[in-house]
Amino acid sequence: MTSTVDRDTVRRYVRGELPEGEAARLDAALGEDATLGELMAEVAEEELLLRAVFDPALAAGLLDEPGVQLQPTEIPGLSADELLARSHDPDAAYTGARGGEGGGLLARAWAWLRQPRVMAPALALAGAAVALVVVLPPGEGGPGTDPEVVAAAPLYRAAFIEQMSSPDGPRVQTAEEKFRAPNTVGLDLSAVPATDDPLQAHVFTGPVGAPLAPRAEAAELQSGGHVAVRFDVGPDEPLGSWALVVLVGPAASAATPAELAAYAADDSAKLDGWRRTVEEFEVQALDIGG
Amino acid sequence: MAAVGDPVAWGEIIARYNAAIIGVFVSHRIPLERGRELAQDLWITLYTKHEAGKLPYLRLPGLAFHHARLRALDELRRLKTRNEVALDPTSSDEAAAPRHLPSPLPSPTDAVVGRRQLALTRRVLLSMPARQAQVLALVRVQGLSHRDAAEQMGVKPQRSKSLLTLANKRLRAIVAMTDPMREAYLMVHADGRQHGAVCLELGLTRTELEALLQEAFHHIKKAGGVG
Repeated sequence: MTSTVDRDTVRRYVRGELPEGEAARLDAALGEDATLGELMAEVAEEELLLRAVFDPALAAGLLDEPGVQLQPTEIPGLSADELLARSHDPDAAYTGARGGEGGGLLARAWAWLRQPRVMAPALALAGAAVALVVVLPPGEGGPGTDPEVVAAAPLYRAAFIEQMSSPDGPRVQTAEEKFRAPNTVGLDLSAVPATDDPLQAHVFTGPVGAPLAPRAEAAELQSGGHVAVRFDVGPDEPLGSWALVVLVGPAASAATPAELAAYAADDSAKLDGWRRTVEEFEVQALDIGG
Repeated sequence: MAAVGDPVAWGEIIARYNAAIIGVFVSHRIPLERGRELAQDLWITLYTKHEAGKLPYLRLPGLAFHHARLRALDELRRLKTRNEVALDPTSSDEAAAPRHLPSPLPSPTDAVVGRRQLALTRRVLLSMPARQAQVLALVRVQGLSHRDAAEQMGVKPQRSKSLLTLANKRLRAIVAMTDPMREAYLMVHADGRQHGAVCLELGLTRTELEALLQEAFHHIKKAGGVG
């Protein structure tokens, strides 16, 4: 059974926002409309919960009971400012799927870009990428003679805090405890050598101060002389500053893996015909909703 | 309609509706503690009047909400005139309170349920499109006018109104989802978990998860929560 009174009117009643005449009519209807009271209960609880989400003191007061003490960090409060700073669109992927059926590639691409997990890093990194543009000097014996540009979008990694997904209810989150989703990655780097000669590229990464490790298959040679670099940083790898070394050289080079690793680690171990580009990036945890 | 005559029945009714009655008081910007006192007083009043035969039939929870609204307005009038929220210590209803009436304060079980509801509400808000969550916070929680909310959000007031309508519908649609659908949806869109991790935790294949998420989207859309 559905109440004849609409929910918005009930909400205004519960909030004391209805004009007195209308409120009095609703009072009278309470005696006749069996479902109205239930609807009021539902709306009133919703109001209470919404307010409590934004008011930790109210939340704690609501739930506070000896033996069931609510920790302030257990259900972190939200603020309107926090919400104003967000750009979240859960519908993007699905509206995008529809666009893909009839909307063509652009619509699908835009829909993909609108996804929060894509848009957020894209926006965050757009500015940072400027700082990571490296103009290489003309390479001495390198694959090109003109200046080359290596444009890197810095690495994005999200370590999401999972606060309330436990089947036993919300968990207490401590400062030491972070739940990381096996998430993200995304370093895109492309080198544009000014040469038509065939090339090969190798990528080495590692936390600053630690030995560099080769990233097999991280570099992909593309048409037009572009070298795209993409690799993942797993959830167990350390946060902080990381070094990225890209070596680009002629495909005909006979350099061994050991020689390449040595050159990656130290510029003094230079290999003829190879160019070495060093970049740093930050692997950061991004707390969502904390 | 509920005609009650024993403390057990009262206990059940109070357990079911007390939070909502407190919600009426809090929605009127009455502090929580005072809201609790007023709610307790309200139940006692209804009970004693019923026992005394002054209210032979109790239509609950409608009657309770009716009283709650009147009490809230009365409280606000007191607050306005006295510039304080004061409990009238001479309340004869309270003095006559039967000792065996269950306390309307939340039990530990209630608190756990409430905590889950609170956590769920928070996740639902986080899962919403940012604009919808914002307008809920500004208009429904902070009590701003649509004009002021729109100014903060950089949109037109009409847009603020339509966003609030969408947000209200989406909020209810998500709460009304089946448990597996809601959990999958919130894990992805509120907790920011990757599909692989969600599949692992919920024991779903990627195809099943995608289907569930797609179904959730259509559920929200059908409810009018997609702009």
